[in-house]
Amino acid sequence: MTTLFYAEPELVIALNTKVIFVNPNDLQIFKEIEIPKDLTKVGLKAPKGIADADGEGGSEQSKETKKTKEVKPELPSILHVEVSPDHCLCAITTAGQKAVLLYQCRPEHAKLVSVRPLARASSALTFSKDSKVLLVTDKSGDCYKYDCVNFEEEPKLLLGHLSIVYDVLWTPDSKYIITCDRDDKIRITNYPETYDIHGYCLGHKEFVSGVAFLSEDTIVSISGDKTLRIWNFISGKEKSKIDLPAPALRLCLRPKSENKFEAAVLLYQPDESVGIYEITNSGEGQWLIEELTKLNYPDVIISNICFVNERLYATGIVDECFSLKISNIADSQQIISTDWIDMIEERFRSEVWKPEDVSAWFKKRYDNVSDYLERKKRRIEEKQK
Amino acid sequence: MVQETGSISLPQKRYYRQRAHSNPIADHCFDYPAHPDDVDWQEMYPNITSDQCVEFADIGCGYGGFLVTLGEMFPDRFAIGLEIRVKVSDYVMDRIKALRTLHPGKYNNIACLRTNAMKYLPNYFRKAQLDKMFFLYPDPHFKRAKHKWRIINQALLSEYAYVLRKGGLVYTMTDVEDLHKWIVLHMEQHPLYERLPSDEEKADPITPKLYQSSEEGAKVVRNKGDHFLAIFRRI
Ligand SMILES: C[S@@+](CC[C@H](N)C(=O)[O-])C[C@H]1O[C@@H](n2cnc3c(N)ncnc32)[C@H](O)[C@@H]1O
Repeated sequence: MTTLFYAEPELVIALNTKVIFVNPNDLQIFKEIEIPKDLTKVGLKAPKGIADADGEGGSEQSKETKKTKEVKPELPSILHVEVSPDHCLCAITTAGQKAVLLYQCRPEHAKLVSVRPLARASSALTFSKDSKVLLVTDKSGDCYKYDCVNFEEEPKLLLGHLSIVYDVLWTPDSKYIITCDRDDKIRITNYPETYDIHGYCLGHKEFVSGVAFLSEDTIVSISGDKTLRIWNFISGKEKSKIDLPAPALRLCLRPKSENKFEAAVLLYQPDESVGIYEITNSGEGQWLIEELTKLNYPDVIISNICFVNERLYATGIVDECFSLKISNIADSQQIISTDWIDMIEERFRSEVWKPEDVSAWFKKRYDNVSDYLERKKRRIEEKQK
Repeated sequence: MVQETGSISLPQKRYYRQRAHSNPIADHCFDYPAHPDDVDWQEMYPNITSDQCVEFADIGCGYGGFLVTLGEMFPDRFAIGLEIRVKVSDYVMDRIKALRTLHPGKYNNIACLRTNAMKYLPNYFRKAQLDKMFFLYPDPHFKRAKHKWRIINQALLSEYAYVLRKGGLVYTMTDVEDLHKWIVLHMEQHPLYERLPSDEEKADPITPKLYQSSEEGAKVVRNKGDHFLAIFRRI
């Protein structure tokens, strides 16, 4: 897995065991994090608090499963990275040895300050606006809270979906956690009363792979059903929708002007793999969506995209190797030298990177009904003879 | 020999038997509405008007014995049985069809849906739509690894609270004591439910029906096994 995002002024790129923080304009590396090879040596313990996560309030049965919960000797590799809004912390989740790592960031270096267990492979991360809490969602649909003031505090289960949660948002006032899942749902959960569901934004007909804020009560979502939709998440009402040329896998958004946003949508297996859309708030809850352009990345399997002003950065795979692509959306942007890009790609040259099988995101619709109905029909016909 | 088509006899269960468990977390071939607005309730309840709605849900209704009782007890409320197994839900649908033919004008307030109640409740029901939910003899899923399959678990209780209105009731009944303890533990831990005191549980007119109407309940009665009842209020 790679990570790619822009935490002004740094572009953050991660793959396997390395995170680099670069200047997006000249690709100079500000700093680098290499995660430890054995997290048990830096204090990773078996997840005891998390063992209760699936609602097992310390019953007799928990004893027998304790022994299987040891930390595996596999090498940790990076799943997700997030930088706190105040830029003081960098959170990293790992697979292999599953953990949530917190690094304290300085302009030139980063120091590992917290190592906590992770119950299952993570699927998305977000910080609270005050940088004091980290939310981690996972493959099984659970969402955990990691305190980022008290680094020792055990993770706490906040809410659960019945399928993988692909993305998570937290409103700046902390009142709502917004999660989207493989079962077509966007769920709005009250915080801190996370047992109380505020509502759902329903309408998508396949997995919802990404969500982003447009305003304090409005979000945009993308889905495997080939649509991009805009919602008032307080009322759960759909405000606008546009059809996409293919199922959507990833979303990134940037404000353009006061009422305008630009959205980049990574698409599943089309020729032109990223669609750029302009989203305009025309006042009174009206939203317009317009397709601007499509970007083509021949021979690269793109996995992540992110805006830095009028450039779109994309990371992907060529022959199991890391590749960075930079596209100018507006002509006014200066072209970034390929030498600099080579330098970044060189950094990850030794890393083998296999693309994720995204086809597994789609629901497998095996039909167990028509078969049964067919047999029933025959049975009835037979009897009538 | 009883004929099934064109006849007015009740369907026979032996044609509708099915393996006891299906994995509620895996994908199934379900056609589910994207939004409660998309549900065609009239197709299920011939007389329902646009200002009426389903208020009772029997989750994992099995062969529908209790659902039928519910329909008789509350002729002017609408009840739905939710069942994940293809044959079993089809049996209930045929049963309701036959009952309606045998008793014209009756049983128009019950219907059965094949769906996964652990995943799709918000697709069918609005916030605070339901007044009563029933979990009668749910599958116990003894193994800890399968506890996430249990129809009552911490995360799902929030979803049930979402579709239930304040003051609405959750009826749970099981013959497995461990499961009963699990249910009570999780319900009482959840801030949106409180258990009814046992005299209120006993006084509820539905309570005696929970022992006999459901097929599983009747089995336990025959075997003289224990029943464990608990009723909770949505607060
Ligand atoms: C042991 S039976 C009890 C049936 C009935 N309530 C009774 O008392 O006779 C449990 C039923 O729940 C159904 N079920 C299990 N999980 C379900 C789910 N996620 N959604 C809908 N039905 C489910 C099973 O198929 C089974 O028919």
